[in-house]
Amino acid sequence: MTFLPIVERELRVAARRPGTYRTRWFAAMGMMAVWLLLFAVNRRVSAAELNKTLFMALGILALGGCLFAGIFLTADCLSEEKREGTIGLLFLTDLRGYDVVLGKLVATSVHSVYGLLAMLPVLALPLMMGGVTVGEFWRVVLVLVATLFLSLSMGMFVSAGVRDARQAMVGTLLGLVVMAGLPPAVRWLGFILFHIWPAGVVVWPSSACAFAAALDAAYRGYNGAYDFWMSLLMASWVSLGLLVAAAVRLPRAWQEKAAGTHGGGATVRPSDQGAAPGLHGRSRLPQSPGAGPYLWLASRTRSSDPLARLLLGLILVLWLCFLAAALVLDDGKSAFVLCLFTAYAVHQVGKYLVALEATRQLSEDRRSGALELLLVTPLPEAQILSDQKQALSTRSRGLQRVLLLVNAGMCLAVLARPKQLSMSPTDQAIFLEIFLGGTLVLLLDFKALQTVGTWMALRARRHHRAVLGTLGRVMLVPWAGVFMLVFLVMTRTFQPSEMKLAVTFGLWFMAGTVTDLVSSAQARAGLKRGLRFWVAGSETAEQQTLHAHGPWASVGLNA
Amino acid sequence: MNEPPIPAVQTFGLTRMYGSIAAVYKLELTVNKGDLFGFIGSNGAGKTTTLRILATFLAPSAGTAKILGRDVVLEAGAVRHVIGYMPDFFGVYKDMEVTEYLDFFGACYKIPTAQREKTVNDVLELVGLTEKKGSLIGALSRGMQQRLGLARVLIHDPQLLLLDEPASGLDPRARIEMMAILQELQRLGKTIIISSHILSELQTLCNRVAIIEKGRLIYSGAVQGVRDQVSQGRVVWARVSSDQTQAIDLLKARKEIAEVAVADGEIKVTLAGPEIEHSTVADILVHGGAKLMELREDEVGLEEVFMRVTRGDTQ
Repeated sequence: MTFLPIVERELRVAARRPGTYRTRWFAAMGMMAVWLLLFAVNRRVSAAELNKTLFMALGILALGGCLFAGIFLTADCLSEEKREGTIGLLFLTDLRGYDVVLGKLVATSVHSVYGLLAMLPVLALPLMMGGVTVGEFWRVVLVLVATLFLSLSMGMFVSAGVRDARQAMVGTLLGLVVMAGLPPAVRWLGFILFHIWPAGVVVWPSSACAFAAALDAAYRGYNGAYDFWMSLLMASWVSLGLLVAAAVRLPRAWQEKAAGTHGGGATVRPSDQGAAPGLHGRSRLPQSPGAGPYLWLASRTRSSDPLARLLLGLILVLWLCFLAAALVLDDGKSAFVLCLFTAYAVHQVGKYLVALEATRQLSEDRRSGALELLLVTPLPEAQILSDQKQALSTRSRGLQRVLLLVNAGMCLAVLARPKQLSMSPTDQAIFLEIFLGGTLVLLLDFKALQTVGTWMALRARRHHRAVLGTLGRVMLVPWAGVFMLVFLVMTRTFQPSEMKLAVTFGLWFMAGTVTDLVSSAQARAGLKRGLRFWVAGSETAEQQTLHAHGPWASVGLNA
Repeated sequence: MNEPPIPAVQTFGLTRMYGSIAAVYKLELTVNKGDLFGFIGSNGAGKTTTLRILATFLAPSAGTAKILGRDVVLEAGAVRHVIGYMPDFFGVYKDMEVTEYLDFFGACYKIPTAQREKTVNDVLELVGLTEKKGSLIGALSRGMQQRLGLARVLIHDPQLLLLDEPASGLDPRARIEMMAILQELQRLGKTIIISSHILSELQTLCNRVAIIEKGRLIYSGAVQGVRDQVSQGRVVWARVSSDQTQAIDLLKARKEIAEVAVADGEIKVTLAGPEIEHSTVADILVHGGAKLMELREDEVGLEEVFMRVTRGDTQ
């Protein structure tokens, strides 16, 4: 077979890799566990209604997985090869841009495709138990496939144009937020401000809206079928377009330009990247390595790239619009609810950026071998870790302030406009509990993300895995809590009184706090084993992987 | 009574296991101060592991290693001040300037700020990178990055240099220049342990070598010593303008000569032992009346020695 040789080769490799089968097994088992849990806790609704809600809940879970897959799977696949200079080896052969792009796409996405396939039987259980129609099931499956394709393609497109891992991951998230989150937000904003629903075409690019349109209630409504198919078509065409653009862009962007150049250039001075005084504080960072060499090293590059600023800025603008509407309009209830969701989104993006930053320097140093060089100098490990902690703390201070301001803004809305928001004093107290408790947990989350991120950077073989591991350890419990709460309220299993709601949020914050403390303690215990332990240990594992995967591993074509 | 000098490196039963595989097994190695010591072995023989243990990066599974009398595990901090370790990869920050990079490592070695600039300039001059001091590391050629690695190793003026494949991937000119720098460093009193695959260069560069295979030491000592050990008998080639048969008879009659044969018009003389000088052949011929035109000894190269003493086993 001479057509798409890399694709063929990657599929063969994937078939031999135990991880391929493990991923499939874990995806199916994870989905099954969630299904059983949700099924077991429900006591209030009819079987049909329960199955429908279960289908929706599992579908949303799968949609989230598909939507963010690209950030962790494809976003850094081409950029990593550009950094290591291995992609040029492929272009010295007769391979074309599309060969490489499709090869890498297959190499990095085969796990996610298998994972999705493994989830489908569990998703189909409500179909067999009643409450979900065949058409509804397959429409949701189509949305999941299209969303996964879109996410992976977005990752490939961004990866083809950048070199830096952080830029690649943030750029992909930005692209996905613009595609999936921005259209419904704009539509809602239009409705709140002008009391008219903008045309459905506005939300066609959004996977979230395509998912909503796939459900029977929306699909059978006015223009529902048309909106659904157009949305699906748009997602597919955008995905294809992104892949074609990546294939065209890659052969032009892989070569290292003269050092000191911007953009696609191989090597850029941190000073050339411009100062970044805005979101992340720099004033206390050292200007020379004399005082704390690692502190200087970890602080010298720009703390937030333009894409991260754009991403945060975009969501903050939306949040401000909703907040302003909630404060100004006589009936600001809808605006306040959307403001709440956007504030939550800003927090999650902020935490993702912290995880990204916490894992970056050590992960890069470990891969390049620079950490090994540092460890044979008299610089104590404890000082490296304390410098890393200080650098992270200083660099995330600006972001932390922004998120605290968001919470303060929410408190202001609750305190200043209770009537317009139809809030009783008890409601006000509950919302204040959410925002003030959220502030406390935010501070703890930041600390935990920084400590766990440092540890994961030493453990995980690749940067994106370190980020994923960090978020999983610190944020999984709070996210699962939100998911469960929404599901229980939807199925009326949990019909909270005001008191119950206050206690529930209190418990949620407590769970988040315990998770932060436990994950931080675990990370500290891991770090106590010493940097040498992790660096030398992981290298041994890498050598074994290289032997197992053969020479192709060295050109980075293995996922 | 004078104490014997402390060796630069001494290992006692040094062992490093990776699971059930012994990367280094009961290694007994001594490197004297001022030696330019070649560390030879196939890929996977255990050279890098040994150097990483000596550099305090890896802890041995068993045995001990001492650098200038200090234990690499118990006194790792002190050891790090006296060694300079250059691994077989660059480990550079490509977006740093050359001087920034050296300044950073200078700070890691706690060189006072006021002294660092001069030190950086000195080491850059030593490795011939003065003109590149403002360049970004990512813009340097491989040879220059290798030199920068050497400059980094020298920044704190260590007494012992551990160099893992310092000349790999370099072009002939860069390699020759690198070797010249190493000789200069030896002249300055540094002890250097160098692992390399380019044995012809080690042969001329090193005064002592160790050969390691499957983590086990096969030979350690002077370069000539290993040659003598593997030589069945040293071979000397002689060309005479007088009667060749007479010359052969003269040689055969002496007990210092083990074997005499003729090949390609020359007399191939195998000496009876490593202690016999090849000038003995000249003496015999000249005093016997033969007209000696040319006399040369077959040198057993380090490559041949390596091939003979190792079996090519890796793990």
